[in-house]
Amino acid sequence: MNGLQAISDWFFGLQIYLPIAEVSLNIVVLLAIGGGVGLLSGLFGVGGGFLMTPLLIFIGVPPAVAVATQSNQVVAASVSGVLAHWSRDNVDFKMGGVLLGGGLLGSSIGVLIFGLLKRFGQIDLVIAIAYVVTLGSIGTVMAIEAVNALRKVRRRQGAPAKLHQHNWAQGLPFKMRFRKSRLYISATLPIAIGFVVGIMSAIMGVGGAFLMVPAMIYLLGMPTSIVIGTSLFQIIFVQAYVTVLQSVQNQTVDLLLAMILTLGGVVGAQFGGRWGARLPAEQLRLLMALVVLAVAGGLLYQLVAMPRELYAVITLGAPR
Amino acid sequence: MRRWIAALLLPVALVMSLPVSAKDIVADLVVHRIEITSGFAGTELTLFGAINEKGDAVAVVRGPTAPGGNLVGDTVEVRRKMRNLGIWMSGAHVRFENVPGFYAIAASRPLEEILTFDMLDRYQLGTAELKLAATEATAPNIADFAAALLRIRQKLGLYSTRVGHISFIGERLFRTSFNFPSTVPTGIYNVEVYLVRDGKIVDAQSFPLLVNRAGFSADIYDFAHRNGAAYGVLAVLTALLFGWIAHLAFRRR
Repeated sequence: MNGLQAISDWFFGLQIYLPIAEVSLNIVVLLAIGGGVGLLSGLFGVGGGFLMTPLLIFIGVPPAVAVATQSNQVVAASVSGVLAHWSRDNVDFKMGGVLLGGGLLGSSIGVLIFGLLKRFGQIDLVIAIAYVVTLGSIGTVMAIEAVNALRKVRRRQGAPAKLHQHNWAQGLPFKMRFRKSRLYISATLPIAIGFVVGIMSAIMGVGGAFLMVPAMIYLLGMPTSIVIGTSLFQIIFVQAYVTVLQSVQNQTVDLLLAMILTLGGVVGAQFGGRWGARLPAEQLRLLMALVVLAVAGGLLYQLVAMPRELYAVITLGAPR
Repeated sequence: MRRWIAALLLPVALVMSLPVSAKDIVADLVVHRIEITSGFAGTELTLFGAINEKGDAVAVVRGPTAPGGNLVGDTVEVRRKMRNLGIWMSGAHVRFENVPGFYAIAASRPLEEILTFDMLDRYQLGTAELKLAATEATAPNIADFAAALLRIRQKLGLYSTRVGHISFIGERLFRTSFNFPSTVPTGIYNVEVYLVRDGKIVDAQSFPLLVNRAGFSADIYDFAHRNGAAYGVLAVLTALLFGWIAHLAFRRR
């Protein structure tokens, strides 16, 4: 009993003071959060911001610091993930570059929209609803698709798969050849996807891979194995841009917190990457759909359930 | 070790200084400075003091103060959530001025036994006595918002939940301790001690307490606020390095 007490004292004594967040938190908990989110990041090719931000806020990091710091941590996790995918030749750099072009444009406009919404108040509500709606609909569509795909695989194994689909998008101009993705499509399509995801990610304060990955699979028709590495490649640049922007404008990036999360995150991402390479694509998609739906459900619950504390205190600053 | 010596010598020094000093109450902290370093997880400060004749003692720590030393607190907005179409959203708000970031109090006996309500109110002794002046309100029930502010800050350990105990060693020497959470705001605090006899405050003393960042955590904070762009670039480079090292470390397996 005494030994147990000593171990728990030691565990809960591992506190570290975070200089920008201005709060002291347990280093083991932070490493675990980084590792868990990193695992999902490597597995699905998402940055994990949609999970990391709510988790950090939950353990006591101020929301502004949580949003800004997770962008920085996602850079590290994505680099480690891209290198792992690159070594297996699973990154389409050309496609990543085109998506990035649209993404940077979109996120710049998204920052403007964010400012407008902030002026009207209720920005938190808009963000929460945006999360629930996007995560909920994407999760549902992915889950249905993945279940159908799994059934088909079981029913007629070895059936020849279609190489690519023909649809209205084939008629668009500025056609480009994406060798790695085995696609010959209009460049306007990935640019538009990057643009829309850029806007959403700036407003929601996330990398946006959970929007990007399904769009690449279902709208562009890219092979799932290429999608993850390419999405991670694109995320590095968007999140690096956001990190610098947040540092300049709000001083909300906590370097120490980011380093601890990164330490857990890169290790998790490596395991995730390895594990993901072994799992069948349909199962992977179903798993991701379930994670996305779980987060959407949790956020929806927070919106509709009676809050334990009805009041919130916001310090506006001292009159000096 | 040095702190222990200081703690042991302090009361002796205080007693010896009494005949020279005309003060009826003297007190001091064992340390006058709280340094927020990377290992900071909140702290406890001990206050020692002496009185020259039998009476009650009250001690208060509040802050941070404005640069002039005046006790000017923050402007704080309290928002109440309300239900609309089944969804909880921010509703009415009340804005308070002059709200202290930290408030802790200790006394040798329950406050209401040693001072009248008027006196407690005048000196703002006790968390419930903090004067919260509303400057802007979109709801009529301001008192509910003020109570919520106190309750939330009490839960964070920033305001005393109950009056701490000042214990007397004999009739003259007293001691107590104050707890500071890791979220304690930085700045200069005011420590006040009051000597109470027959329901009157007969003497008082006050001195400052400094709460500041130190070491690595101070360096990071200063860098982030002095040169945001360089800080952001450094953050990105650190992330790139970490990601690359992780890849190298795991490649062989």
